[in-house]
Formats: sequence, C-alpha cells, structure tokens
Amino acid sequence: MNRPYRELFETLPASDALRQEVRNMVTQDRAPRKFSRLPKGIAIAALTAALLAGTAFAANMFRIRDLFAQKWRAETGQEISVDQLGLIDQLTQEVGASDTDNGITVTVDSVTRGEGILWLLLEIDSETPLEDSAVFFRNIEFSFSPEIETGTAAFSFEDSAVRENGSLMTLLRYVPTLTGENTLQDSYDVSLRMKNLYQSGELAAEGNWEIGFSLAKTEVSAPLTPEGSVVVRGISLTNPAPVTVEYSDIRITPTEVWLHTDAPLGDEVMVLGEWGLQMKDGSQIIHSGGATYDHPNGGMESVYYWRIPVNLSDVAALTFGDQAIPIA
Amino acid sequence: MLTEQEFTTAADRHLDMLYHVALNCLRFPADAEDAVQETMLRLWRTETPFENDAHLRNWLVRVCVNVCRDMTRSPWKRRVVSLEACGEPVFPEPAQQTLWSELMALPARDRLPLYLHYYEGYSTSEIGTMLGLTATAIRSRLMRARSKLKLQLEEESE
Repeated sequence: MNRPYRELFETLPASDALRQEVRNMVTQDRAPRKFSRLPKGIAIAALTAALLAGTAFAANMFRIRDLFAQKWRAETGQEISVDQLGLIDQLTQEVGASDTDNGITVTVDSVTRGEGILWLLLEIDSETPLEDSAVFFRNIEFSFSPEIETGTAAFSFEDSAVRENGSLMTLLRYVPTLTGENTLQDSYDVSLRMKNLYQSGELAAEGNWEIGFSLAKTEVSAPLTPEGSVVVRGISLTNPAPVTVEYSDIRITPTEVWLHTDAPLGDEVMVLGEWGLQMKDGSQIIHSGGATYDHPNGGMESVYYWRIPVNLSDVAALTFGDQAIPIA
Repeated sequence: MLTEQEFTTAADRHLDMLYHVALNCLRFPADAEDAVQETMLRLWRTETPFENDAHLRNWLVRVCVNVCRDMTRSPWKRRVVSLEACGEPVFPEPAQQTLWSELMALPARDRLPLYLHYYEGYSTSEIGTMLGLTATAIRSRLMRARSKLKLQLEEESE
C-alpha cells in the first residue's frame, strides 16, 4: 500500500549539480565562528606586561599569542600558562609582508605553524573604517616553493580583534591535505593570494591581494608516542552492527595527533567522536577538524588538529570521547 | 568539525533524504536545492560533535526544516516567484504526477510528517522530537493527511 508513495520519491533524487555543489563545499572557508573585540583583560595584561618590560606596547600588542590566549580561555575556562605562551612563540614567526588593493592593505603579521596546519594573523587596514563584524576573504590560494604536494585545503577565519588604530586583526587557519613527505614546518617561500573582502557574509570590497613571504624551518620538539593501540567506537556504513576501529602508531605533536589504522575508514566505517588532550591542570583541548588519507604503505592515516598549539609537557592523556589514553 | 571525508560521506548518504525533506517543505526543486545547499553548508561549518549517524541525520533534518521555514518567511520569497521556481518535478508515470499533485495539495505542515514516517521510517515520537511537536500531534497530522489522499497508506505503528 505504501509502495506508490515510496516509488514517487525514489524517482526524485538530488541532482548531480547539487551533489557537485555540496562536494565543492570542502574547498570553501569555514565561516568565522567568533568575532569580538579583544577582551579588556587581555589588553590590560598586555599593557601591563609591556610597561613592566619597559617597551613600547603599541607595536607588539594584539599579537598572535594574544589571540591564542583568548582561544585558550574560551576553550578551557582558564588563563593560558607561561609555558603555553612560550610554545606558541616557538612556533611563531613574525612576517610583516603586505599588499594593497582598492584602498585596503592586508598584512601578514605573523605565522604559527604545525606539521600540517598554518595560522596566519592578518591585519586589514582600510581608508574607510571597517565595521566591527565577521570578516573573511574568498578564493584563498597558497603556493609554496619548494612545492608541497597537497590535495584539497580547508580555510577558516577564526578569532578576530580590532586594534586601537582601527585595523582589523583576524586569524586565518589553513589546513591542506598533505600528500607528500613535506611538512609545513620546513623552510619555504610562500605566496598567499586572496580575492574580495567580505563582512557578515556581504561583499565589503573587491580586490586581489597577493602577499609573498619566507618562512624559516621551525625547530620542533619530539612528539608524544603512546605505546600500544587504541580501540574506539565507529559506525558501519554498510550494516547496522556496531564496529570498532583500532588505531596504532599514534603520534601527538603540539598542533595535531596522527593515527594509523587498517580499518576501511571512509568507504565502510566512520568514526564519529572527538579527539582531545587532557592537560595536567585538568583542562581539556578538543580537536577541530581533521582528515584521513590512504597511507602509501597500506591502511589509513588520520590527523586531527588541536584548536590551539599545546605544550606537550603539560599533557596528561589523549582522549576520545570519555576514553582516556594516558601518556607515560 | 567534520573532516572532509566525514562531510563527503554524510553528503553521499543523506543528500537525497534532505532534498526530499526540502521538497516537501518548499514544493519547488529550485527552492529545495537552495535549502539543501544551505543545510550542507551549515554542516560543513558546524562544531556540533555527532555521536553517531542517527544523531547526524536528525541534526540535518532539523536544520533543513529550519532553513526551509526561514526561506518561506523571507519577505522576498513571499512577494516574488521566480520563473525558475515555477518548475515542478516531472514524473514518468501519469499516476505519479497525480499523486504528487495530491500531496502538494496537502498543507506543508502535514506533508513532512508523512514523508518522514512513510519514506524514512521514523516513528511518530522521533518525528515529534525533530519537529518540536508531540507524538500525538504528529499522529493527528498523519491521520489528517491520509484522509485527504486517495492513496491508501498504512496507519502508523510504533
């Protein structure tokens, strides 16, 4: 009796054009999640620190470490520690390269790097004051010399702030799919191209900005490598029975966790859960985005990125949902 | 946030369902495609941690229904019907065209529970949770919709 009803909708699949549009979404930036003026607390702390250090604060205020401190507070509810700030400084390089178009100057203030992730602090100066609202660019392209083998890339504009001179500071996160052996922490000449500035989803200014800069090789600390394997829950895409996924060769870096599995992820099995780090002070950092690749030697390699670079000496355990995998 | 692979898998699994939900809400394929695109963009950008595929599916239905509601509330939408939006689906069988016309003659608020129950197989309480209504209200809508259709649909079972 219900068959005609079912058959009616079976003749109405989503179009190929719609499927393609949706597949293309993974190359779009992820919308800015948050946009706020830098909290007074951070500004006061930065001012106090600058005065104590006897330096002019204006040039150094609202650095990338300040935005990470803001993210840390939002993520953990606690103030970021001196050790964490030290780690962020270690991974960060000042840049100061800029390009101007249509009366708007975009400057790459500084870059913080992990193996597979870049955070760029962008300063946007406009002849006409920009509104204090979410800002982002379209058509973002990176190129590296020497060349890096990459697949698709994800971009997002994260926490932002307004400097006292009225310029906007925004944090651009770039996560490419690395298909070769290079990491983003090697030495590169980088070219960043961005088109058209948007605010609150509306076109604010047309323009093309191309900014070139060089990055020196970053010294990285040894990763944490928990012994043994980790088994987590997954769901089968082919039958309703619960499945498990066993990960091995786990490598935790300050910016991401890498895991290897022989499970057929993607085509048949999906892991839906959050990887995180339990810190020794009780706070927790949760992953934000990730990817799974075919490993050249077989199996699959997954990577999940931390929202903030993490000082590994403060890590107590790797977590997946309620599961905690202690770090020896 | 979902990884690219998780997002693509979710799209492959649920796009037809979302398109049907949007069609039931909005009637016209062009509008339904817009609603599905907006829903999937929200999925790409959400930070919601999904516990399992059922959680993901429920989230998608809820968001899609909200997107459709927003579209029908839009002043532009209320005043303007584009030429593109006038196109309705075309079916290979005349009987299907008739059934579609009957379905579209139902109020939109009754069409969606019908689809979620008779095509997707959700129980009335599950549909109630998704749409913010009681199971009794859903049963009432199903009964009302059935009474207006010439097609005989089985009564819902829990």
